[in-house]
Amino acid sequence: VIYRESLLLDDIQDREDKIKLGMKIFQDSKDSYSDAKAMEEHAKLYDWQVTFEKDYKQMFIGLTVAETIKKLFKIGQSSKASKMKSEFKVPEKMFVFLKEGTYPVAKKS
Amino acid sequence: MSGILPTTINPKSLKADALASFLTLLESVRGKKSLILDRTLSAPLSHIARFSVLQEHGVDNIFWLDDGPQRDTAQRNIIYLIRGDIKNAQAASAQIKKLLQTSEVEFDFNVFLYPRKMLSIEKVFEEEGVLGDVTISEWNLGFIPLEEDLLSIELPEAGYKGMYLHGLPTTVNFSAIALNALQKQYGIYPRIIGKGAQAKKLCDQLIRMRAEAQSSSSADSAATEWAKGETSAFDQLVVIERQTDMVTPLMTQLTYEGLIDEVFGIKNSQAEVPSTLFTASNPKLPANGGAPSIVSTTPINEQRKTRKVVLDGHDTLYASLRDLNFAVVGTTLNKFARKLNEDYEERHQAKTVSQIKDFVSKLGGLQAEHQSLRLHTNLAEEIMNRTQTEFFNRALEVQQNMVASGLDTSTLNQTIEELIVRGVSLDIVLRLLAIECLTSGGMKEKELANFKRLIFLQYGYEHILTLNALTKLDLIFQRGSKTSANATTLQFSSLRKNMRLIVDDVNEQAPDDVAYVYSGYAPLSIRLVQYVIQKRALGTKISTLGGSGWRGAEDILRGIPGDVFDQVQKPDEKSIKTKVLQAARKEVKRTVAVFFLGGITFTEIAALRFIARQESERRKILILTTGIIDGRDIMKTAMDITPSGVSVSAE
Repeated sequence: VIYRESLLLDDIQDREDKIKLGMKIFQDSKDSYSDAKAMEEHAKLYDWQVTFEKDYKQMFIGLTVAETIKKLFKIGQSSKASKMKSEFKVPEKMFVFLKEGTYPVAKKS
Repeated sequence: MSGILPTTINPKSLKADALASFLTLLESVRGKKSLILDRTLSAPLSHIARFSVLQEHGVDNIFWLDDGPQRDTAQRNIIYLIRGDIKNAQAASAQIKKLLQTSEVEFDFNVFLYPRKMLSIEKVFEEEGVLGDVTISEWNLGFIPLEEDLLSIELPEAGYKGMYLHGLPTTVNFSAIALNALQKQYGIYPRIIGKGAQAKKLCDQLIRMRAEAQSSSSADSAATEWAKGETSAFDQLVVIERQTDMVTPLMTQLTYEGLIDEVFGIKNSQAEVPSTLFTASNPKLPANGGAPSIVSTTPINEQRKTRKVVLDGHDTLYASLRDLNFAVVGTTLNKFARKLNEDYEERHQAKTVSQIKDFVSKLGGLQAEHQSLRLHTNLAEEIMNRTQTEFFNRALEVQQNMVASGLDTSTLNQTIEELIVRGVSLDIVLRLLAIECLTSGGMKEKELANFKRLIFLQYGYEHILTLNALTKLDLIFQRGSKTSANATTLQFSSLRKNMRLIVDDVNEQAPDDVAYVYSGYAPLSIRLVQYVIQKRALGTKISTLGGSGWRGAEDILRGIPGDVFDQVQKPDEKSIKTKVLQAARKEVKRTVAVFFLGGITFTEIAALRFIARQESERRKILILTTGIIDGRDIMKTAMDITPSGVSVSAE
């Protein structure tokens, strides 16, 4: 449990350290199964966000899955958002709320 | 010293004593000095001394410890007043080192450790090579009187985090020191009774401390140092450990003071409220633009500034409002307003000069009341805005259902799920989940996994750590898999019946039971206290048991984690001569000290005050605690571990 903490601290600080993240998951997987899976997803999210930042020149890293999807809607990339949804198994309900939540913002801008 | 023993505890004198001891400490350093203060100590200090008082005693300027090394401090004498922990010691010694190296002036360093000197701290100074340059002494404040009936040690996070998350003994140690000091001054606790594993440790320590004092010092000094047992101001000490009842602090508090704490947060009797509440002369205009559906759950601070208001018993209006259920605050405010109006109208009756004079002299008080009325009307209005939001009510509904029945968790889970999906702030969600775990003995594996996934998606994966911490705290866990082996699970459903936790016909207007504070749920912690001192409130089943202390309740108490103890402290043999006094003592109302180890909520304070009022014929109740907490604070202790801030600042 303890090194999991320190490792996670690391990865948020030096964001570029993707490789470390992968290693960490490897170490963890023996430990507790569901947490390891969550870490795996975190790494995946990170990958996505890196590509998004490249493609749309916007900040994505550090956002949660929900926030990422919301942002994708905001900048009009709903197909990417749907992809995220299936990739992270985002529940339909949450997805709809994220989608709706962006409308008023879109109207204003 | 050996004069008459005070039979009642006077918080004012306690305050004066604390100030005096602090000033002697300051005086021990001659001349003008700079004070470098641990930020967390400023609050307790401000309770006993004002800056002007410090100035009179040679304090030239005050700095924060975490502001780094002092730029051109004018004074040669530097006092560090810090909590005795390693991090502080390192910071201080690093600063001292730097000052020694860069400046030619000869400094005189004094380090006051709160609440006592510790070897490990001296070690840090030694390692940094500055031990020779500093004088280390200790400063122990002990209990700080927050109110007439409420004393607190004011530990950070009420000592909760240290005790349960990190497993540190400091909370218990500090409590023992403070309780012991009180015992020295006002006489021993003839009986110490309590519940909880840490509480037991505390009790053992107290008894050991007294035994040590008795054996080490000569009989003479012991007699003067220790108040004679027979004349003790105390009736008994009841120690309730936070861990025995985690459900209560996680519930949304429904008293006025509790809600202010929930909505704005109260720290050291001060709340930070939006300054719009002061300027809005027209209270009809809600602060948030009249949009009732506004989502106020996320702590958007916008650019609106906040202002601190002091909330304590000196404000008479607040004193009468604070412990009421919020449902009746409105009418009470209304009544007060009418009375105030009448008071103003008196001026028309004033005919003679002396009558006018009379009125004018009252005017100041009236204006103060007027101001306080305006403040509380605005506060209540703002709280109303929050409590009427859909999220607040949904969350409340889930809470109430869980403590009241706890049967049908699947529909409740759906509600929680929806709250997560819609992005209610995380601490609310976690509180709900924790209450569910505590009341129903854990969550099913599949459900828990589902919630975890949702939380990670919505709030970020870093909360893997948060959830781990909560598991460690035994707040969120799987059914049948307790992390700590010895902990007994809370048998909430049987307690609900046996301790009468749910009171259906609660009267919020004119409360007849402590359950009014949560509109129907009586805090378990308070029921425990009542079990000791007010059995009749628990219904016929218990009041007929008749035993004193915990007796007769063994079965019931087994359903609550933690040890049970009941210790009698015998007075010194020498003082048995004072039997004559004992007879006289019967006349005096003695005090029951109720100590909450690990923090108390405002709601529990309200409930204890309620009991105190009922019991006022027989005894006084003094509330003691390590600090005041609420559910958000508890969740924060778990969330703090997580490196946050990144996800917030990204937008």
